[in-house]
Parts: sequence; structure tokens; C-alpha cells
Amino acid sequence: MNTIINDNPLRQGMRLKRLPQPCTLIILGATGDLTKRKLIPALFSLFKQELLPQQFRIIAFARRPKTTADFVADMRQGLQEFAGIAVNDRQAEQFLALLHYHQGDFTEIEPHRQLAGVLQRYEAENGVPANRLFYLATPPSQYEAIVQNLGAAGLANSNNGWTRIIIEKPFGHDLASAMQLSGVVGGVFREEQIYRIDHYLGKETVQNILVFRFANGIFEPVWNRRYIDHVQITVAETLGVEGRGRFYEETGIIRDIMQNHILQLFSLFAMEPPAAFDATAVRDEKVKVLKAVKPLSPEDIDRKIVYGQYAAGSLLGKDLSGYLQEEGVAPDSITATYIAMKLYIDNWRWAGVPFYLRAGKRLPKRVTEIAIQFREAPLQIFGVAARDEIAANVLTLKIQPDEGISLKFDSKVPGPGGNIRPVTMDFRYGTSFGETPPDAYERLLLDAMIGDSTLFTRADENERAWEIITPALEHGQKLSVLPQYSAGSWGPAEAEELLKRDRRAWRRL
Amino acid sequence: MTGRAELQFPGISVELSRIEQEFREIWKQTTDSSNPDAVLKASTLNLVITCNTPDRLPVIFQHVPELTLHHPGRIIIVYIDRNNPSAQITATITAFCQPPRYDGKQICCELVSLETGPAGKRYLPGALLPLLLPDLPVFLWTPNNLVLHSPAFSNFHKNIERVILHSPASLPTVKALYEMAGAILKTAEMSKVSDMTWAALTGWREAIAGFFDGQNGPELLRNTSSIDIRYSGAGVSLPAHLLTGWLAFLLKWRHLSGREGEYTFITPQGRPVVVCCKPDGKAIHGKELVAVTINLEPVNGDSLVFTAEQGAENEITTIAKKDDQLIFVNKIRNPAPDEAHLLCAELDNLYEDKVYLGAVQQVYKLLTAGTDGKAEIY
Repeated sequence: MNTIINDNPLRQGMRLKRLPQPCTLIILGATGDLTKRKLIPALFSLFKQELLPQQFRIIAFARRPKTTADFVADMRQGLQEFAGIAVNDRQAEQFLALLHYHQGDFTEIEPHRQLAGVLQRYEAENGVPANRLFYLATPPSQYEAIVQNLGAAGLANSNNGWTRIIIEKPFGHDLASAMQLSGVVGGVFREEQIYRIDHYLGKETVQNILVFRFANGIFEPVWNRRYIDHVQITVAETLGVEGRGRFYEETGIIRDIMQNHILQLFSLFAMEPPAAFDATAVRDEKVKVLKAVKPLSPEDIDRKIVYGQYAAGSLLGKDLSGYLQEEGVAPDSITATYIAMKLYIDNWRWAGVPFYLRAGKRLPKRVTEIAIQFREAPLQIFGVAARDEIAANVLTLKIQPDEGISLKFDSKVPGPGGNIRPVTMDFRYGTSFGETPPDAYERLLLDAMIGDSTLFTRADENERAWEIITPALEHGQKLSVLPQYSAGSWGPAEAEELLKRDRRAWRRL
Repeated sequence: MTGRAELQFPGISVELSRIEQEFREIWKQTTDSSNPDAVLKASTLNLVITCNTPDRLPVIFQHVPELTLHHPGRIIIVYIDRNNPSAQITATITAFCQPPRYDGKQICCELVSLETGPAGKRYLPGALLPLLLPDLPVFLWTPNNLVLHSPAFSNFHKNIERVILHSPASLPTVKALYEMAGAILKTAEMSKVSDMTWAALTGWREAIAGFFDGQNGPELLRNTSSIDIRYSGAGVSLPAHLLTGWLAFLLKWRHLSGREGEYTFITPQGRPVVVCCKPDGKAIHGKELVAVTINLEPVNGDSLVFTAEQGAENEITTIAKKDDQLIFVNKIRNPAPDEAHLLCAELDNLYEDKVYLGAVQQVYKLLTAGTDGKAEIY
């Protein structure tokens, strides 16, 4: 039974919390960190808000031999640590009673067949439709085997309900592997069943980019090359690799941040208005703008990309080791922990407007934002002295940690003099709406249960993002040494040069 | 200024003309005090609350911290004391901050209380308009439709984005229900209207709509032959009638005959549908509605019956049966309506709820047959 809610006239005008139908969530790789840190706390939060269906169950599928009681104990401890629940929290115990542990090897078909039996029995006994949501929380290397086994065990479709699959990023290691993975997953599940999750898209402020642009009449008219001088997108982290050196050696900043998070922000910021706020229209526009990105050519790649690797330094009074000294990192590693990149979009809206993108580890602040620097006023009438005081207007969409929007403009300093100073006007989510936005996973899990894929990445979008960054990946692999920057600084000097050549500068964050 | 959610009321007594200055003074004192935390004042709305019984005032004050946690802004409580012979409007103000539920950022509220006697009603619009924060939506919460349909208030109505009612669920007579529906429609001519009694029906609407979500939902809806709505209490039920009106409005049923709880409609396909609203006597967890049963004409020879029942817990159980055989059981949460939460939900919305108005219009039309056809606005 497929749900066609839109055809139901009784749904018209219904002001409801978006509630999913009764369903079962099957987390594959449930003993990993993601489940304990993010998924279970997010599901518990949905449970507390009464946003989960009444007949809802979670099956934790993992290789480790455990009983349901063992797993529940682990998750209870996880909720205490990551959701701040008290011991013997009554709601938490009600929630934990929804968990069931299913042990098995993902590479074998038999545990998948057994899982099918577990699901069928549960659904028949409780008279609930066979609505199933699979969540791949395993290392990406296991995705293909799992998908094939789910298909072989008859779990990719059901006659009496819907089946969906959520796949965690990274979706591939490069363009070729992304296409290979798409082929395997697409051979078992239809595209509309596949939900590629990039948790950035679940953030309230990321979604607010669309509302900000398309619900306000004053911004969209200036959202183009006539008024915008350039755009800076920054994803800065203070953390290093935190003991995950081996993983990071395989990944690096380009795959970890640039290919997904930054290009998601970039496409939402730069895309054309969609015809509707639905999965197809929004994702079509994102793909269109990604297709319009001017490819990085071998001739100018040195002038448009800066790589970096953090060296020893200090932050907030603590000494920090360099990347090469991290556990699991090769002593001659050329894995980038910092990247700055200049991109252009070849379309009428953005022709000639540079987009400066940067991401880095061990930077002084944890900041994610999109800063739009507007062109300066065409004529300076306030004299030579004021010329140095007047700063360009900057509109900043802050994604984290202080989610909000800020506008910088120039104002006269009170008094008889003619001094001019930039001032900022801030809107912050926390203080205007009084509520901290929900965790990104809450929103995305709920959307997947409801069947709304707007905030998930489509195959063509993912592949186009890989195409854009492939020259950066390939060029980086040819380098024998990377520019170093001190941990706790804003990146290598070469990154400053990248903008300085254009008579611009990175925003001081 | 009070700290946290401790609401000191009535606060400072001030002249009407000095309210803004006094608020400025309160905030100035706050920032000049030794408190190291800066106070960030955020406002998202104006909320005007009307009240005409003294026992409601403490209830409203209790709601204020919860309301402002989600909707910081200016709240103006208008109390019309029936026993007050004076036409003078007295004002008290207070302001307070509290941290929101999830982090330490402060949310602030300015609270104004205006009090007068019935003779002072005509001065209220002139007192209220200058107090509204500019550029922010204005909500009027008038639980019993105490919206004062007087010419003096027409100017004030122009400034209201939304009137929020909380209509009584049970009325003594059909005529009283008819008059109330008329009053709601009259209010809707001036402002967008919503009703917390309607919002409290969301779980029931969800339960009923859920029967028809499948691919063959439209076909099943066309085969509806009769609906039985049971409610607690002995009076005339607004929720039962709103559900009837809702179905008639959305499914384009035309009222054919019937009055006082039993109505026959004709569907666009020409089929008759009989809707019965019957008192059941028993109230389950204080819920107004007890059960809704939908009988369908046989489809492919099978007769279908859908039932939604208020369960023992805060949930509605939905049951589908084909030829007396169980097809499925589902549960929809239907928590006891809490006034503060319902109001918070209403403050989230600014759009016109056309479905609600459509339902009320249908109720009004249905009941015309049972009255002299003249609605009195009270």
C-alpha cells in the first residue's frame, strides 16, 4: 500500500505535526558511534515530542554478539551521555522498549533472511503495514554487500507498505566509486526509495537559506552579479582528527567537507528559484547550478586552489600537535586538512562573481557561514578620509554555532565629526524564536519516515559534486608537500594570497 | 524586572500615556544594573488577551511564561470588570526574562494589563493601538469571542492579524450553537479567525483522514453511506458538529434534510450520507468526542466499517473492518487539550484557516433549519 496522501481531500488544510505512518526503522551497523551519539538521541527527541508513530519499532542490526538487553543498556548509557537523561528516566525507558537487537554478518545473506522473518512476524502480529526504513550506519565499504543482501532477501520492496533506505555520506570515494555505488544501489532500490543523508541539510539555518531568499522580496533582486562582489563560504573546525588519523588519511578535507557540506551550501545559495518547494523541483535547481560551475582547468588550478596541513600550534592555551604527529597518520602524508578554492558559475546570474570556499581543521573558531559581500557604493561623497572608514556591506548567513543572519552596514558615529563606522544588525534564532533548532538528524529521520526527500542528496547531484572536486583531488595527489599552517591559525599564508591577488580578503571571523 | 519566569503581577501601576517611557526605564535599569549578562530583547508578536471574569485572570497569568517562552513579545491583557462602574482604564506593566527551554539565551516579555468597567470598553481601542509594537503581527485571544462587535472596535480590528477563539464545546441548545456559529462568521468578516476547540479536534481529523490515505481512498470516500459521531455530555456538541461541517465542506456534500443532530447530505455523486451526532453520556479522560464510526457501501461486495475511538490513554484507536474481519488497528495520539499549548500552536500560524471557516459555515447552514434563521451576535 503506497500512501497517496495528497489525493485525500480530508488532508486539505490540516495543521498537523508531520507524523509518519507506523513503520520499523532498521539500523544496520547499530553498534557504531553514529547510532549512540546521533541516531538514538534524535529518535528519543522525536519520541518525546510525540512525532514518532504509535506503532514504531527500531531493529538494531549489527555483527557483534549481543542480546537486546545488552544493546538497550548501551543505548541507555548513550542517552545519559548525549541526551542528558537522568537514570531511570521514565520516558527513556518507554523509548528503549522499542529497541530490538538482531545479530548477523552483513556480508552473509542468511541474517538478512532472518531479518525479513522478524519483520514479517512483527507486522503480522501487530496488524501494521510493512513500512520499513533501512539506515546504513556502517562503514561505506559495506554498503554494496548490504544492499545486495537486502535485495536478495526480498527486503527491497514489500507488498503491503513502503521500503526506503538511508545512506550516510560519503557516497563514494571519488566520481568512479560514486557511480559504481549508484549503480549497485540503483540495481536494488529505485531512486525514490534512496535517501542519501548529509546532515548539513537538516540544519534549520541551511533550510532557512531558501526561506531567506525566496520568502523575502528584498533579497532576491540583489542576489546576482550586479550587486554582489563576491561570496565566501567557510566551514572552520577547531578540532583536529581526534584519534581518527587512519580514517582521515583516506578522506581528507576535500572529501570530508568540500564535496558535500560546502557544495550543498553553495548550491542552495546560488541556485535559481525552484518552481515549488518539493524534492524534484529543489533538487533539479541544485543540479542545474552545479552543472554551471566552471570546471577547474589544469592551467589555472594552482591559482584557484590552496591546500594546507596543520602543523603544531596552540589554541585556547593548549599546545596542539601537528597533523603529521597524529596517530595513524603517515609521516610523509600529503592529506589536506585545509582547502581554499575559488569557483565561478557560468550563468547569467553569477557570471564573473568569485565564490571563495574554504574549510579547515584546527582553525581558531568553529564557524560555518556564507558571507555575501556587496559591491561598494558607486560614488564616495564623504571625502578622502572617509574612504578608509567605509566598508562594503556584508550579509552573513550563519549556520553554526550561532545560527542566524547578520547585516553589516556603515553608519555615522554620533557627534559633530563626520566619522563613519561599520555596524552590524543581528538576527539570532535562539533569541527570536526562543527555541534552539532541533538536531539535524531529527528532521532528516522524520522526513525519511514521512517520505519527503527534499533535504536528501540525489544521485546526479552527488555525482556532479564529485565532478567539480575531482581536479582538486587529482591535483592534490600530485603534490609532494603541502603548505603548513599553525594549529590555531586561519590557514596557510597562500590562502590569504588567493584573495589578495583579487584585491580582496577573507572575512575576519 | 523579574528574573527567570517569576511573574510579578500586577507590576508597576502607570498612566496610559507613560507606558512606553516606563518600559524604556525598566530596560535601562536592567542594562545599568550590576547584572553582567546583557539583556537581549527579542519580540515576535503582540498578543492581546481579553477577559471578563476575575477567576480567569490568574489562569491567564499562569500561561504567560509558557507563551513567551515560545513567542517573546508584548502581551496586553484587557480585563473588563463587570462590577466596575468606572470608565477609566487603569494600567499596570511588568517585564521579565527567562531562559528558553534548551539553552541559556534570554527571552523577554513585556506585559501590560489594562482594566476597566463595561463603560470603559469604548476607550479600549484608543488605549490598545498605541501600545502595539510596530511591524509585528497582532493576535487577539478572546476565549469566548469577547471581541466586542462594536463600531468603536472597527479600527482596532483592522490591526489584528488573527483572532483566536476558544469556543465552548458543549452548548445548551441548538439555537445557542447556531448563534455561536453566526458570531464566529461575523468575526471572520473582520479578521482571520481560528478556534482552539477546532485545533483540539486535530487528532480526530487525523484519525478519520487516515482511513482514506491509501490509493483507493477517494473511491472509499465516495462510498461513505453513514457516519455516527458520539460525544460525551448531554448538551449540543460543537466538536461533533464541526466534524460534520468539516466532512461536508471538504467532500462537497449538500445538506438535504435533518435537524438537531441527524443530518442527511447528498454527495456530488448523488449518494445520500446520513450523519448522526449522538450524546453518549460518558466522558473519557475529559474528552468531548467518544467515537466516530464510518459505514461504507460495499466495495467489490465487501462491506467496510471504520471506527475511531477515544482510548483509555491519550490516544485514539482506529480500527478498519471488512465483513467484520479486522484489517488493521492504528493508534493516533490525542493528548488532553492544554490551553497554553493550544494557544502556542495558534500563535505559530498567520494564515487563514479556510477549512475551519468552511466547517463553521456548514454548521451554520445545517442549523438554520432548526432556528428562526437569525443569528444574534453576543
